[in-house]
Amino acid sequence: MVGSTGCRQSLLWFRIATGALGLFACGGSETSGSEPGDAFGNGSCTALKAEEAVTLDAEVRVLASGSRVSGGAGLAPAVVPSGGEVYWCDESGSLFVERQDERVVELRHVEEPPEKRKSVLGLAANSAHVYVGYAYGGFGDDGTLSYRGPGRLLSISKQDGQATEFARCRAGLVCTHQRRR
Amino acid sequence: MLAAEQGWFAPISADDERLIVFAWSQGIGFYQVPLDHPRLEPLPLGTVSSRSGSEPSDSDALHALWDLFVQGQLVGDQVYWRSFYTPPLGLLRSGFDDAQPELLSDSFPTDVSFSAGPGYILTLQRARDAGYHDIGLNFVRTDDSGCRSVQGPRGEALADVALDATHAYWIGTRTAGSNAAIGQNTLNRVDLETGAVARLNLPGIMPDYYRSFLAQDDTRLFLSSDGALLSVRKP
Repeated sequence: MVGSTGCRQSLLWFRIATGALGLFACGGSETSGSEPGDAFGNGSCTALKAEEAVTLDAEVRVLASGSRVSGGAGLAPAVVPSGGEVYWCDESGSLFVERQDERVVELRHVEEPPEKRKSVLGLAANSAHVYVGYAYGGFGDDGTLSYRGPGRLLSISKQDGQATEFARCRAGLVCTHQRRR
Repeated sequence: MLAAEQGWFAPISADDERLIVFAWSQGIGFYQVPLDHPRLEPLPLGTVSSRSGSEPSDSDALHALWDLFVQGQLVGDQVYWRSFYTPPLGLLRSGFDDAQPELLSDSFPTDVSFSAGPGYILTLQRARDAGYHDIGLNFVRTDDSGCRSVQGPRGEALADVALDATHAYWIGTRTAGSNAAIGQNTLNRVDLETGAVARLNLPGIMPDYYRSFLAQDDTRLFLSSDGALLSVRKP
């Protein structure tokens, strides 16, 4: 741990919508003694010197393969851990869950031809239901995000996958909320 | 930016009382939907009305809301974002129901991005040797008690970061100039209290398999790859 006077250095960060790569970190040996301030104007920051990195084995499971996880625009998540389980949608919009006993179950199957397929906007979950938003569009080739309706919002039972149409936006922006079994 | 002649709803979070969405419909912005009587109720975090249903008159407010939705980071029940369009300008934090956002910094540099963790903000800093040569990146954690820096990537580019209360996890990508094979990815973490760095080995998983973090809970990280979803237990 070393202290020094601070100087504002160029700070960069990478968290952009497309998740693109940020900075390249060059290899080399580090010397201590450089602890500039932070982006909040703190004059100097305590520097914690790392020892040699260790390698740890991490238990890993492949929950899904062969179809990309769909959704995840901005604040709307694509993968939702909830109650010890985890929920996600594939490219077709079908909803999956990994149960606590590690079984992967398809909760709601969607079968649409690609030209009619809606994008998954995101997921949210409470104790009993998963809410999934659908619309057309998504990230374009230029990295911009664009959606268009008609959108749908489904409430799907965590237990048996029964779906209720929670909201629908039709052409002309007639948005209605429906509850049906 | 948006071609929304028709509406859509993006779920953000839910509990047993309400669902919070970003909606593009008669109004645009953040709404709650009471589960016992579904309807759109504007949230203080921000909405603008859209009389025609396509473009609201207040374009600054629209840009601000869209930026908030696309670039915002949700940690617990708090949203962190940087406001470029509407005052207060700077780094902000707010709950969905808060009347006003909290201004964390009005002088946060415009070329600095950030990642929000539980109770802290993480930024990147170039690590340099005594000759001022770049040797990699450090993470700088700032909270109410001040700031500290810990070692980040060395010899690789940074692809993504996930933060929890104790660690910063990152995916590194080996590129030209590093010792290992180009294109190989690594999964790593640094203890934000001690600075200890660990490389996480994923048995049976190809090193170029994982690309980004999708979610986490207390015990697991969820990583995406081309056509796969991985669950990695935090060691």
